[in-house]
Amino acid sequence: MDKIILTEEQLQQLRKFINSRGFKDELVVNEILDHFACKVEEELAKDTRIDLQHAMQNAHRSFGTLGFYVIQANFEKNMRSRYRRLYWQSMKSVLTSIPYLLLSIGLWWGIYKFSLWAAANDYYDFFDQNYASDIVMFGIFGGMIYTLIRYKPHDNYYYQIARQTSLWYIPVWTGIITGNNGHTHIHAHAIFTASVATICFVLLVVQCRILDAAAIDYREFKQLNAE
Amino acid sequence: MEPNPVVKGSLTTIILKLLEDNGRMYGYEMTKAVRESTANKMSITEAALYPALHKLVEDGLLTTTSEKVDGRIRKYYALTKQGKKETQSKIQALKEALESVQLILNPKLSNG
Repeated sequence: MDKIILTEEQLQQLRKFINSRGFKDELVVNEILDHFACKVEEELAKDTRIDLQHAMQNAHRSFGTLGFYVIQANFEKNMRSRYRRLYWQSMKSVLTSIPYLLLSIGLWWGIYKFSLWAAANDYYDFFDQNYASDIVMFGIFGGMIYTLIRYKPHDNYYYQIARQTSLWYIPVWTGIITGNNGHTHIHAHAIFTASVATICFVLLVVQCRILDAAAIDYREFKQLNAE
Repeated sequence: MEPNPVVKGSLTTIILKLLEDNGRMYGYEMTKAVRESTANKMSITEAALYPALHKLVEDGLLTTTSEKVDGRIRKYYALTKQGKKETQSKIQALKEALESVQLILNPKLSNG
């Protein structure tokens, strides 16, 4: 049985076949392509009378009832585990880094003091919310917009999975819901506002690192593909 | 070909053994190696292979590298240091299990 190697045109037809089965993302298609191509080559070598279309159908059938989904699901699991692992590694490295630690403590202290000062001077907004809460909320929204703008060009499968792994938006909503303090429990509110700001800052830094890792993964994939 | 439950149960060990013998392999190559070395009596399905590979990577027993081969990107799997150590103990455990099964299937006659 002679070994058959698919040409670039044939590989293109395989990509189209994979697309037609509902797998459109280039990273997922790439993950499926090699295994599928090997099977198609084997089908063509086994029976030289069949054409590529038949070989693709036979090869696809041999994947079983779930088809390409098995490869796609495991690729997603792999990437999710990778970014989750990176997430906690980055978190650890940020929390043990002296500059970030000093910056976080400084941010906490600054927001805490500002909150107390705003309360003492009766600086409350239209919704009876301390100005410090407003600043923190704007900061959080600014962070969200910043990540959206900075990483928008890398909007691919890696990026989407990495983004889902980041958890920093959770305290955002906690902060917004509980931000309104009225004029009581001034110290408790100042501590809370400063803590939300600091947690969001750390989570934003970690999220940026994960999204950077996803951008690097994508760049490496593109480079490898272009070889 | 129906998936063999014995193969499924010992899939991790089979993958580790294949990688120990061949250095590095890609997914399709593993399925082919099992088919060929058992004269088509056993096969590994993709549905069983890829979750097992994922688990082994997750456990730190395998590492992956990607290369462009024949116009497409191929992912190779290889044993890590920890994987090499684990392979021996898994092979030993499987051998012992198979010997125990043999004893049940072929009991020795004894005076009784």
